[in-house]
Amino acid sequence: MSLAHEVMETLLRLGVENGVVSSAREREVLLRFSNDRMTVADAVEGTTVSVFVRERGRKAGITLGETDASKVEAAVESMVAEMRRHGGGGSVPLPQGPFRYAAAAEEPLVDVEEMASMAAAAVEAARSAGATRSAGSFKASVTSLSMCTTAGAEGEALLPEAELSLRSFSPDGSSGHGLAVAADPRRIDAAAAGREAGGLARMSMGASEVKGGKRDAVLAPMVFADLAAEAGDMASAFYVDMGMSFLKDKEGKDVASPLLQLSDDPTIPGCIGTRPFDDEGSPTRRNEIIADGVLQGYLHNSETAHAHGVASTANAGLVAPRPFNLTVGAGKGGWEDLAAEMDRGLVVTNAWYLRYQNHAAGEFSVIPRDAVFVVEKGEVVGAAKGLRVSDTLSSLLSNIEALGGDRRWVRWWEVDVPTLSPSAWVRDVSFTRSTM
Amino acid sequence: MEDLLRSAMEHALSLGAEYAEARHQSDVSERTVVKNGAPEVSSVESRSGFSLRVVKRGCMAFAAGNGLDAAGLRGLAAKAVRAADASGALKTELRMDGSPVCDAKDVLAPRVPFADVPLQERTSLLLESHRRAADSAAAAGCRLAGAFMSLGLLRTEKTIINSDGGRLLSSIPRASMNAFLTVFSPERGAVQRHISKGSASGWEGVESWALEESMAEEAATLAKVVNEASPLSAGRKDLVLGPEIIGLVAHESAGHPSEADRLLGREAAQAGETFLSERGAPRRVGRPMLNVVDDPTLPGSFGRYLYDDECVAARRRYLIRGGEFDELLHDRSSAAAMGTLSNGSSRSLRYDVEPIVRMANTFVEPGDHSLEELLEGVKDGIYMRSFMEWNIDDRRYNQRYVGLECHRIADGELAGLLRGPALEISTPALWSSIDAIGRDLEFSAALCGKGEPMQGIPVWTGGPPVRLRGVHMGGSA
Repeated sequence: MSLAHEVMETLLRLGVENGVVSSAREREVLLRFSNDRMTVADAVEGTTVSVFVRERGRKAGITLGETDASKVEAAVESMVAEMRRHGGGGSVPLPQGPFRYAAAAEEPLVDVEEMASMAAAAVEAARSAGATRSAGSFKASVTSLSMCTTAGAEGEALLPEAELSLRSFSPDGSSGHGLAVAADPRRIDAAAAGREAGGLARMSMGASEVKGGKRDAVLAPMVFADLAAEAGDMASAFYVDMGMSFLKDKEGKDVASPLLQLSDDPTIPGCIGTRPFDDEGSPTRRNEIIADGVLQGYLHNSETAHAHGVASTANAGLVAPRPFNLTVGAGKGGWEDLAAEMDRGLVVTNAWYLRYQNHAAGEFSVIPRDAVFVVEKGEVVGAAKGLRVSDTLSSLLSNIEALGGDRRWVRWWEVDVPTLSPSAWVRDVSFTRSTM
Repeated sequence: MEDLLRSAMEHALSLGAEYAEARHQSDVSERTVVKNGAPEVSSVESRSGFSLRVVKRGCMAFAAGNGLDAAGLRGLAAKAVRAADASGALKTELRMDGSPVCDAKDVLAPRVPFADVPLQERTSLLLESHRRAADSAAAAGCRLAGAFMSLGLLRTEKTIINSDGGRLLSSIPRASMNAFLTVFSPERGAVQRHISKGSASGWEGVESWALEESMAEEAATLAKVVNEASPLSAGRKDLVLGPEIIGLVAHESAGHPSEADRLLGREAAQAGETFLSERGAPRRVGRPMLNVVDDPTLPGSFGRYLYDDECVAARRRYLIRGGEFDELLHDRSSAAAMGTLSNGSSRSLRYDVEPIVRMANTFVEPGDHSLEELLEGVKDGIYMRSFMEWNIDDRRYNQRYVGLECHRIADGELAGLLRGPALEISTPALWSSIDAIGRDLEFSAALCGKGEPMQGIPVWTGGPPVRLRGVHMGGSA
């Protein structure tokens, strides 16, 4: 009997109305490098058990880094006893199982020596492409997940992830970022990520200060993925109900250009964010969030779904529903092709540090970093620096002029949710800059 | 526990490591959440485990795991050494400095242990805080349209030994509260605010915040902003920054640029580097009265610790002294690389992440002006008390702060609220624009994000009000 099942016995014995138990064993190798040298090599393993209980209008959870079932059971008994001293009223039932799930992913081999060789290949490729130095990280992890619920759902899943993120610098400090994301570290094209980072660093040498103002811009996949992931997060009914979403009261309404298709799809085989069930045990499925620019609905767990009078979309989060694996519909061409269609504007290849003035209004700013190119008459004529995008999500998503065909998976320090995104040509992006 | 750690450390040394440190860390976090005036969830998270960090032939490696016995720990040590051996073509030459290391205990006993406060009392405190905030908003003709309040009680215990003779036992409780409020008027729209409080303390820290009154005041202020704030035209103004904002400035524009690991390029692909490493970067950025410090030893502070995770004693560090960038924040490897000694800045969030260079409590040292004296000197300006949006580039050079509670200053008097003025300015220009520093020091709590994996570490940011002359303010959004 698995640890999760042992703990479930305790919940059933206690007569808990709604309970979820999951145990996860994670193994991760993380290599960090800087100045073309290894900074640190990490090898981490750990087991956690999480128990969530919902009854009589109250919710409680525990997460323990513990493999001793008797200790977990004692903690569960204490939690349930404490919860039952308070509260009253009803609770929304968990999705009723049993369910059938998609087959588990295959377990990839995670080998530290092999990963170090791949990281070295990325660094060398960046140098060959013109970089003088590179920094980055290469991580690969496998999580073995076991889940069961008081409503009869039970499943096993293997969640493999690999991510190589590389930033390269040229002699004048200009930089470029390369990224490769996959479920299996052996499917990472390390040399391609290095070439991309080194090439962008070299291309953006000699960047000059340019004025702020409204400009057309091609937002490369790493940038547009940041915006798409924000929209995906804000589609969570939890954040809608909290007033932390620009999508509140917009179901069935235009929220973006008709060109934009945004979905959450954790069912894509062999993908980094793929998972067979959500945190309540519901089988995951593809959910359209924005279709032809129209908001199709919010992402729900059973509780937010009940409050909104709809069915769960299988996006639990036990407290807040969330997207697992976002995809943006593709257009045609790469960022270079979109820029060629643009009379004047900028190409932004990466951005970070997105912060809101007002989540409900979607007012935010984010800082372009790494290569930013100046485009005139469809040609890249130079590089720019020192700019900030200060705009609203509604405006940027509504002003999409064209989407590229250069979709790629993005996940890195700035973008938490794996997001398959193309480049996007956006009209009238508001850029600001420091004036002192 | 120490015997287990010592056995693992010695095993790593026997496998060829020149340096080894072994740590056991336990973090037990209790959280109570109220959403929109109803109990949302109460949770307990307990994470504990072991880590080994080694240096072998100049390469550093880190291994961590939980649920381990003595044999498992020796396996962990072997795994760390094997990872250090794996550097291959990326081999480096890293070493630890010669800093004195401690054999010490740092146990902060709470006056009111968290266990003495039942869940119902914690929940009731948040429910009452919500009620008071909602009443405040309603009294001003607005609605508390969204409210998230979370109370966190954390106890961190560490046992650390290293092969240079360091030994540390520490136990530190931390209390924190985070809120997100949305105040709405059908006629005038909505404003939102994040609020963070934190201290190294038991429940007495929570009591000191007077949350019910504090949330009522916050909602009342937001309602005033909704009802009364008027747009601002862009232009050059004098600006008084309140403690909340100058504290963030101290953190972002003095603290982060002064992290030695950024200067050495270690964080280049994530949090970034620092403009201080660039040729021609100015060292002098402010007038001689400007001092910005980072001090882990402040009693009760959210970022408090007396010894870091490399067993080096903590002390106050002058990041900007007399208007010039001065001391960097170091761990033992960055100090060795730069030919100096660590100043005790190495911290890790959990057992399963490596210690890295971190700030603790970063603030502008007080001057001698009252707030009234700062305002008196302004003919046409802005007093920015709080903010919502901010960011800064990865060299920590270009930053933006968008005000939330902002007052117009006319002839030295507050003269009405302004909506969302934006300060977008370089780090040298910001520090050099300060012509007067207040005397009333206040702190805010925050979690500072850095590292890979991301480590959100508790810090205080602070300062007294300061006055900036002739800065360019962007108009209201």
